[in-house]
Amino acid sequence: MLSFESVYRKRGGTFLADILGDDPLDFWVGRFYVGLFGAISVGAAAFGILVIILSIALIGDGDLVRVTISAPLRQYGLGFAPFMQGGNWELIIMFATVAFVAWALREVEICRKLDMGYHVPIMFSFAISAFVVLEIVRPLLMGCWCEGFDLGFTGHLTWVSNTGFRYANFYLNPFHAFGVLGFFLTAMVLAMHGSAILGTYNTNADPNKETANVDNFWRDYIGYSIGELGIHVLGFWLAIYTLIMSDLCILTSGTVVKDWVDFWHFQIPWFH
Amino acid sequence: MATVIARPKLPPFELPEPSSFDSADPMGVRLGTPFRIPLLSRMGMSTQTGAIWLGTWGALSVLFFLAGLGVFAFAALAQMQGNAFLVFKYFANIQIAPPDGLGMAPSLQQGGFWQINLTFWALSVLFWAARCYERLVRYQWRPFLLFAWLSAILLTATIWVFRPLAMGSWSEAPSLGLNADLDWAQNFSVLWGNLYYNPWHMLAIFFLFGSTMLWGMHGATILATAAEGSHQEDAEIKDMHSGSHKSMLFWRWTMGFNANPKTIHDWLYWFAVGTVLSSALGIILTGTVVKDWYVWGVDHGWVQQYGPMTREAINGAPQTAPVGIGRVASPQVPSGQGGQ
Amino acid sequence: MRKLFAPLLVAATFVAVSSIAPLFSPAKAAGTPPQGAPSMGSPSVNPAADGVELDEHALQIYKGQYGPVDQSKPLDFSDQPKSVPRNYVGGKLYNVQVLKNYTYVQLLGQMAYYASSLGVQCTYCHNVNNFAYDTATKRIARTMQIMSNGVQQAWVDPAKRDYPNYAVTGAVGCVTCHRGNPHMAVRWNVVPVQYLNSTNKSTRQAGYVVNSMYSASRSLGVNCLFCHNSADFVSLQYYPTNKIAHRMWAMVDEINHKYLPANIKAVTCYTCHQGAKWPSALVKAGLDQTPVQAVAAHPEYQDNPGAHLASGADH
Repeated sequence: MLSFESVYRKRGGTFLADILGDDPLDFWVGRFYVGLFGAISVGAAAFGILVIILSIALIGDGDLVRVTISAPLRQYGLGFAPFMQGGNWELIIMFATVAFVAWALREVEICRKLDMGYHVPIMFSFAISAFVVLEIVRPLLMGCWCEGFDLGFTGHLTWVSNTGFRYANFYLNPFHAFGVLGFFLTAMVLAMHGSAILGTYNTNADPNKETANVDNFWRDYIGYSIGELGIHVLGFWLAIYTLIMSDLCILTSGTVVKDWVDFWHFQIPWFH
Repeated sequence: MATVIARPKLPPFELPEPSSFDSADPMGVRLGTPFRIPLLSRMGMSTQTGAIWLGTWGALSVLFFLAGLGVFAFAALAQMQGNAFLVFKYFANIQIAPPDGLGMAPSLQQGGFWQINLTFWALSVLFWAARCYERLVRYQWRPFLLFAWLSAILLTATIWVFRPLAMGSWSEAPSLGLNADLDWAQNFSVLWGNLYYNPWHMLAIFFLFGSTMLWGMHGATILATAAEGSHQEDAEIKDMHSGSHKSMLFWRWTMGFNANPKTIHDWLYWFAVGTVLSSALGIILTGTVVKDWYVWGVDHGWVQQYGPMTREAINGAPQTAPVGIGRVASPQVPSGQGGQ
Repeated sequence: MRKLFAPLLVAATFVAVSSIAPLFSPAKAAGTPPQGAPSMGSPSVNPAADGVELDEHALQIYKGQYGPVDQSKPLDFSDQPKSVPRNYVGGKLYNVQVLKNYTYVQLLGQMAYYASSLGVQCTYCHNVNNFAYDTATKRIARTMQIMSNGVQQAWVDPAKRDYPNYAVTGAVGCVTCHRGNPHMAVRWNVVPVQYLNSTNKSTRQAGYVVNSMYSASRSLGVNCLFCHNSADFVSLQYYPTNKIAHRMWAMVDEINHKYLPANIKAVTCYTCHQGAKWPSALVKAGLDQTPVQAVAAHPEYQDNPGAHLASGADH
């Protein structure tokens, strides 16, 4: 345990404790907190990994970078496919979703224990939303599980490539463009914040003076300093914005818009 | 999202102390005066929108940027036969193309505008780097920000300068224009065997998505513990208080690993810089060393072979992976096409 | 500021609604960008800058300098073929150069076919005072007939032979391209086939090829995956659709260079396909498989188990 940790390790305040009175799963394994959702998450992940290992063994390709577990064929629609023709994919998706959601709920429990805000599980939920939209919501909207991406290191890259070209030119998807903007802005702002802290920590004995120095640099350099709290607000919302745009970009492809080059050939009345 | 700290009383404007650096600069002036944007305080951000430092380097940078912009505007108007409304209507489609070969363009219309425009903007960006260095020295920062900016310049220079030089023609670089740049990215990937299979492209994506993930994690963590002052990061690095304790414990209990208020910023910084550096490597290797990333991937066992290839010998290596490896016995569909 | 809120909201709604409304309008004009701006389907790259002879005429409708024949113009026999009679008597065939061995009735039927395919009257090619009189439109029609026969023999019949399951009956005819209009629909130009096949392209030249691919895919109403696996456009060219497309591209090239007058290089994929995978003029009646299934049933397809495509669902 860390030097200060014992003060914070307190039992109680969990979901099961609210229901049953005492939570039998409210303990730590080493540094990991378990809890009900930890057990569910690890259990689901274990089953999912088991399916993955079994599938890889049955496929027979020893190269882990190349092996791919494909989504079911179109003919199975939204039903259950045979195990090696996509059923394994369906199982893995189910277990993965359960594991991710349980992980987020576990984070909520940890936040309650530490008396923190719920920002981290909220952020993680947006990340989960990207996975769920790609593998569950969009296939449901499109009418078959075949629309989800294949599982595999290079296999899923081929899926991304083919999906992009299926809609002609995915760069012209405006939500995709906004999402890319979000990603690049995030990287830039991240570099700025990282270099601000790494450039200035521990250089001045007086903590108050240090903050002013950071602010003044940014005001000189770009005309504005967002402040030590504000930069984290910005990062938080930038990340959420990026994930929302990503969700929208894939949700609109194939459902509302089938050709992103053609999408731009609309007419504005007074323009033409 | 409610503010986690009480709205602060607005203090008087903070101004930097006088410095010999500032007074030695012939163009050392701060433009305008600070003013406040009250809306920002509702979002937890500083309201002071301070005067921006001009400086010699800044002035040069802005000058060259505007010059380049003027060249672009002029060239765009020329393309639309002087009709400014058409420039607005077809703005996305305007493209100022580079010349062929490596020399000077034969004429303004055939690549001259592109060369002039980019020369101005290259100089502008380098002057901005000089401005960055000068300000870092004045405020006595370690030069992390400068290195990040130079890395970004490196990536841009790789795409627009170094790789065309290596390939022997300016036409390898993108044209200037919205759709032109997007098309360049598309065409580049199509021609060189699909950049998804470029390992440095994979690394760059890993760092890019990782940056967003880390920003989400760090931003959320700080906001969740801001009530205890974890956002005052320099103070927390010197001496951790309960906010940092909780942040560290949250991650330790969740994933078994935690950074501390200083090292998290190492993670943030190097992921962001890693993005641009990996990208630069991936670009410079394309077309020079590796001519078809898919074929390269198949030869090195990264990628399934999706069918017979018509240019198997493109990288000098014979085809090694038999058809159908990584696939089950019964027919499956290539990913992304939704099956049949 | 608050007082402006309501009117601003109204204005914004008006702008939003009127911007979206045209999406629901039935007519979608093509809109010709000005010269120098890129053509449709090619968002930005201007191949003319690279010396590639792409057809600038392709975006202009070919306005007839040729028909209809001016009936009141006096007949000038100075450069007419010898077989053209000075005084034409109806019911006999003179000056038949291409459609030899046709009986009178057959010839009339062929003429009726020309007229209906092009949506014109007899006066478009003939002077009614002397049907045998040679006109400019007649000369073009002869070229067209030779072209039609040549395309049928050199391109369509071999395709029928090689892809029996999905190939078509019916022949290439006037209607295939003209579709009831003396001026062909000209849309979406493509690069010459030699340009496609040449290796060692620069990134910009790859852009011209990609633009051509957009043109081709829109002309057929399909997306990229109909012929390609995007894992590698360059080396993975094995789908039957890909091979057929190669042939078709060469055919378009030949038509443009061999048969059409020098100032008209206007045939593109769209000319015959007009947005359909199989030109409607050629579809075999009673085909018991959909075209996509017929392609999938082809023996060559079976070697590439991943080659089944669902692109038809997207267009």
